[in-house]
Order: sequence, then structure tokens, then C-alpha cells
Amino acid sequence: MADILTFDRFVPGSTIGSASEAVGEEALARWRKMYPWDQPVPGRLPIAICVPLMMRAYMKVVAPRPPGNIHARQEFTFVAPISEGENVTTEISCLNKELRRERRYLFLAVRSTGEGGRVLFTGRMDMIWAV
Amino acid sequence: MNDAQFKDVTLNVDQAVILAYAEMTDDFNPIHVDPVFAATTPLGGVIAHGTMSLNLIWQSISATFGEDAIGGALLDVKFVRPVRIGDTVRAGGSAVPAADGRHAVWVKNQDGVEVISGTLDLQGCAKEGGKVSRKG
Repeated sequence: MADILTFDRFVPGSTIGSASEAVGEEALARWRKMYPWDQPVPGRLPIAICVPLMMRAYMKVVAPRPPGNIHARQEFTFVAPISEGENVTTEISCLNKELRRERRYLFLAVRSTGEGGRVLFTGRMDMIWAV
Repeated sequence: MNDAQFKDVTLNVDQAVILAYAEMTDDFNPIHVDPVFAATTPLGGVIAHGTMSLNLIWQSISATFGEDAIGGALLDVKFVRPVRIGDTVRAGGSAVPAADGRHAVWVKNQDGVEVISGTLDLQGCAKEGGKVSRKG
């Protein structure tokens, strides 16, 4: 098993990794059950589904994590809707890290692209890292 | 709808909803899904995933403006308080006076306390007649 990603191991400016997936019927059914009012334009996925896509990539790429990290702030730019069945690749990189009042702030950049490399959404996750 | 207000979106939070979202995100952190473990932490019990409520803000934005009008929308939020089992959370927003394209956005619990607080900037979006179009 790989070593836990401690704060010291993050290198500002470096890519941590990427994950690709197409949102399947099972995940969509789960979404519709939880948010039945969220009706997208036919042929597209609900806009907000980019949030769990980002989180799934984070869970997969930024791992293994120490327990106790806090997701403090989220910046998110919606660029274009995702088409049904479109494969989405989300790349996560370390933007910066800072020690502030003994707290370990980690800033992760997120960039998701779809078919043909078109940008779908970008974001920044501000984390307070546990160790 | 008051023209200055976003369309509200509301979610009742229970353990089943939290578990469904854990499956959706692959985030099975015990603080979200294990009541016994969560009770031993400083938070004193299970809390919902912050992004589960963040989704409601995007849904409110999409319902208010229409998804074709928000390409380039920049959302910046802070997760300021935990959401707990039994809470009812409501997302919405409103225009910031004299700030073209800038809006305050929030998620509040049943007591009216903000659990997510932030801003939406639509200045980067395609505009119609100098103003971002509003749906409905």
C-alpha cells in the first residue's frame, strides 16, 4: 500500500493525477432519486453533477489520505454542460500549500475535460490537511 | 419570484440520503456514515458531506438563470457549519446591489443559519443586452 499523503509530500505546481469516467445509468438514477427536481436539458447531465464527479476524482487521485482533513472552501467555474455518456477526465494538481496559525492549508486545482479535450469545469479546493 | 431572488431548492437530510451521496462520491469517511465513530469526534455525531449541499446551489443557479446562460459562472463558497441528520437545507441567492453579475449565494438550515456561504460571479458568462438573462 502506498504511503499516506501527508502535507509535506505535496509539491506546489505539480500534477497529482487524473481520473476518467462516464456517468453511468446507476449513478444517474441515484442522482434523480436524491434530487428529483433537477431536470437537465435532454441529452445533457445535470450541471451540479460536476460536483460529485470532482469529488470522485479527488477520492481516487488524492489517496491514500490521512483521516481528519477538512474541505473548507470551494471555487468552481462551470464552463460547459456534460453530454450524456461523455467521458470526463479530471486532473488534480497541487496549486499551493501554506502553514497558517499551525494549520496546514492545501490548495488543489481541478480541471475537467470531455470529448476532444473541451473544458467542462475547473475549480480550486481549499483543504485543511490533518497531518 | 422576487426578481432579485434565486429560486430556492430544498433537501431533507437523513441517513439514507447521506449514504446515497457517499455511494455517489465514493466518500465513505466515517464522520459521514458511521454514527458510532462520529459520536466520538469533536463534532459529536454524523455530518453530511459539504458538497451534498453545494449541489443545491448549482441547482438553484441553473433553475434561476437556465443552464445555457451560465457558461463561465464562477462560484466561490465556504463550508461554514456542519449539516446534520434531521436538518432541512435550503439553497438560494440574490443579486448584490450595484455589482453587475455578482450575487450572494447560500445554503441555510431550518433555523435560517447559513451552512454554506459564498458568491456567484456571472460576469464571465455570455450576456444579452448587457445583462445576464434570467429564466422564468
